[in-house]
Amino acid sequence: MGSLLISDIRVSYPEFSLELSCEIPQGSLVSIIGPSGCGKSTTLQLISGLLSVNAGKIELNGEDITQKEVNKRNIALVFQDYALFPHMNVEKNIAYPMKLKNMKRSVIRREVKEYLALVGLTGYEKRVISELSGGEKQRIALARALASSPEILLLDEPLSALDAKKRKHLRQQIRDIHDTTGITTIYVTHDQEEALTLSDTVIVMRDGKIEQIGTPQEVYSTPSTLFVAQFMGEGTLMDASVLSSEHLKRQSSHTDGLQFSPDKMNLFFRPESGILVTDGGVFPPTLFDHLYLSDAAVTHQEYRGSRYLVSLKWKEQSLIVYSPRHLKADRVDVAIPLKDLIWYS
Amino acid sequence: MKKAEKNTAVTAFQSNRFYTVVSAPAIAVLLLLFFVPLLIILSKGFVSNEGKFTVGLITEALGDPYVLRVIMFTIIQSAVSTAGALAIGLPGAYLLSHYSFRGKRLVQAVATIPFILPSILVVLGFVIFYGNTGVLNTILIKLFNLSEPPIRVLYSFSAIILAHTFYNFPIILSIVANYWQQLPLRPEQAAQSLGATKSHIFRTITLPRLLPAIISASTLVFLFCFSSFAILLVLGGGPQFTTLEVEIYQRARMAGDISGSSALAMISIFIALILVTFYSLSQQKMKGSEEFSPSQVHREPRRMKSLPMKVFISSYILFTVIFILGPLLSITYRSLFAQVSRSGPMVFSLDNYRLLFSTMSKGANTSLLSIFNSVLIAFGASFISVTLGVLLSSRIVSGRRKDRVILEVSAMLPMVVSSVTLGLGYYMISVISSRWNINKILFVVLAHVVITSPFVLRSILPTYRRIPASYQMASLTLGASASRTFWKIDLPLLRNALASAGAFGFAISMGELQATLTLADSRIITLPITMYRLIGSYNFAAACALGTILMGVCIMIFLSIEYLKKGEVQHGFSSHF
Repeated sequence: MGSLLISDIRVSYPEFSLELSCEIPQGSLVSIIGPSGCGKSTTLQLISGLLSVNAGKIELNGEDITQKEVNKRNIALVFQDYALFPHMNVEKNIAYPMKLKNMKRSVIRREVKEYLALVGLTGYEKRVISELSGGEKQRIALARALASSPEILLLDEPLSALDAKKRKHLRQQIRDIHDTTGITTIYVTHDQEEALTLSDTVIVMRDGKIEQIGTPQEVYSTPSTLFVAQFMGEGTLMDASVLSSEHLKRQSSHTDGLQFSPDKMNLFFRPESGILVTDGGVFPPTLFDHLYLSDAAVTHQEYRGSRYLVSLKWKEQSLIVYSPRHLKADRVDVAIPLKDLIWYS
Repeated sequence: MKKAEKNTAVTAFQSNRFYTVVSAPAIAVLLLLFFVPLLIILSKGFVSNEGKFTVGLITEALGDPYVLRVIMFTIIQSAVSTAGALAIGLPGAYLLSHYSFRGKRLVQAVATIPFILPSILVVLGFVIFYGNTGVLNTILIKLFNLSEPPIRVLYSFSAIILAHTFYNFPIILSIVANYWQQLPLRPEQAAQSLGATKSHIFRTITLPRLLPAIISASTLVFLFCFSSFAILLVLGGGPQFTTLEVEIYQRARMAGDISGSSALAMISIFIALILVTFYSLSQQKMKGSEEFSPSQVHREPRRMKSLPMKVFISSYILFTVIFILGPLLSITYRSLFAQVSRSGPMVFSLDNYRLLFSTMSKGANTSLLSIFNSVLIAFGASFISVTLGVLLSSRIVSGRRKDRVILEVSAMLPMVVSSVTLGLGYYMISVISSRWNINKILFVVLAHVVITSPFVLRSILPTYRRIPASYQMASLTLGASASRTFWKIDLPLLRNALASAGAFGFAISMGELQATLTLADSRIITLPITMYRLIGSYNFAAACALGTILMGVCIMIFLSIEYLKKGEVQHGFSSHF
């Protein structure tokens, strides 16, 4: 079980360059998330050694592995297309890394059984690769990677080719396997729900650089940049210049009010932060400091199963706020706790 | 999957280093095998008898009216043969691309025969089928009760054209039919909606769009006819029907005029270079002139309804089958008949085969030896060229764009330098190295390696390209070294492709006549050389028996290639996406 320290690695191609530093603690499950082309898959290939860095250093358990060859790094990678060898059956695929270590046949056989049990595919030894379903292939690929007893396990969008239901099931299985084996895992995804539910730490990348590293709660609730805020979930971005002190409702005990500063004129909040106040609605206005935007026009209500996402127009600004039920009124007031507001320049 | 990321991913540096290292000797060997003989020819062509540099030999050759006539004749016969191939190939291309009909697969299968058929068999088949006492004439005489054979075509200009047409129309057929079927239908439909008539649409829309494919296929056929050898040597049968290739051979090996022969070889290279350049330009045009996107509407071959169409198709099938299979079947048919007594009638017997292999007869040793030599050479040549081919293609597949130039060049160069020229080069090498007492068979093998390697490479590459880079990368990340990955992943996945490439190379080498003949003349006898000699001495019965054996080998190889194609390892992941 390894820990990884990446310091100032750099690669550059004609149309893309990447530059990053980070630390992956031992036994953690870290996900890297970002839009297509942000360099997340490239990062995995740099760590695995499939690509070489132009500058910087990668250390595994304190040992510099920057120049080490791929096959000597002991870092396993599960590919997006699984890359199961089609000319070998399931057993031979999983046995492949163990044979490389000259393990005894009988040991290999036993281990294959155990890895298959771990991924929930007991009895699959003799299956042919082309007859497996997508989810089965994914799990065999995982078993094969684990069979190389890697220091670090890298997963490159391992669930992207599967349907939504299977994805939820398998991501839980991956988390369980991680917790059982305790293996340090880096998980690349472009799905924020996956990143938030699965990982201990989330690394958000953009254009070859890290935007933020934090717990799922941190990157969601206190995103350090507007990009992270918008990438990790829905929300409202407002121009703060339309606000004045009349919109501020605060408790008398607090002295700090709405502070406008010229370099932070944009504010952002998640739809669940806003509270809708309709005629006759109950709202305890004195509980916390908040912004109070009165008389916003309801422009659209989108049914989301458990609730509605309400689109509003207030002073030319578009807002989105959740509502537990369909609104009858076409004009509402909105209250947003000050603690939920995130300011950006 | 993102394209950009996938491309950069291929550059796994250590496996690239491996492929570069292992392919380097292969590239070096191929270049040596190709360029050493070529350079020797070039040096001969530029050096006078006194050992001084001169362009005199070439200007002298070009000033010789006989040489000019030979060049003119070569070009004219190529042009007429190409026209013949077009005349027969284009209607077939129309049928294959537009209709589905019973016997379509037969036509397609029969049309692939000439691709793997040695030219000496074509020659023999023609003599047996079209000859004055040949199968066709015999049938016609019996049918119409004639006193004279109605068809007198052998040893004439027509015979050359006919043989070339037969040998090459399948090239036109398959290239144009393929292209035609893939042409999106939209422009035709648009023209129709604008009120154009069918014939107008064909003239103004379809034909111009087909032209790149027609030009490309025609250039290829022209090139093949330009460097054709056995057909000219046997069916031409006289100085008035001599082409450049035959003249190069005759000057070198009959007149012993190496310098003059080299000068002619250079003229041949020069003309072929122009043709090949034109061909690769037309290929680019062909690839670039249409947008083949999956969303486009394609032609679905349909069943035909009208009676004239049905008659047309039936006669086309009948014609191709008779035209192609007739001469070939005649060889086997003729080999099974022999005159038991000196003046008696021909009766069914296996005497011809018995004579080939009986130790009593004079020709026996020759026949057995030639089969042995041919198999030995073909094994050696195909083994070496598959080895070189797989190493070379590993580099091409793993490498960057600039490495693809290697492929382009290696595929094109052997087309520029004809087999006769190559044989001439190796002959000179054997003369230079004569004091080391090297077995000449080695040079034949090497020449065959050069001749077969482009075909072998082209059989391996498509399969190699289909192996996802992630397989190799997965193997590396699991702890396997680059060389182990090559052995455990690349090679097993290529197994069928390598086998069929080897079979293909084997067939080409088995049937190769001109390089071997120019290189070794009568010292090394191979199956085609023995056949050539038997035909030359009018011993058709024995030639047919040997020809049937050669044909049997080719058919077996053809069938095994087809079988291997079906058994290709499916790269399972793609089927699930």
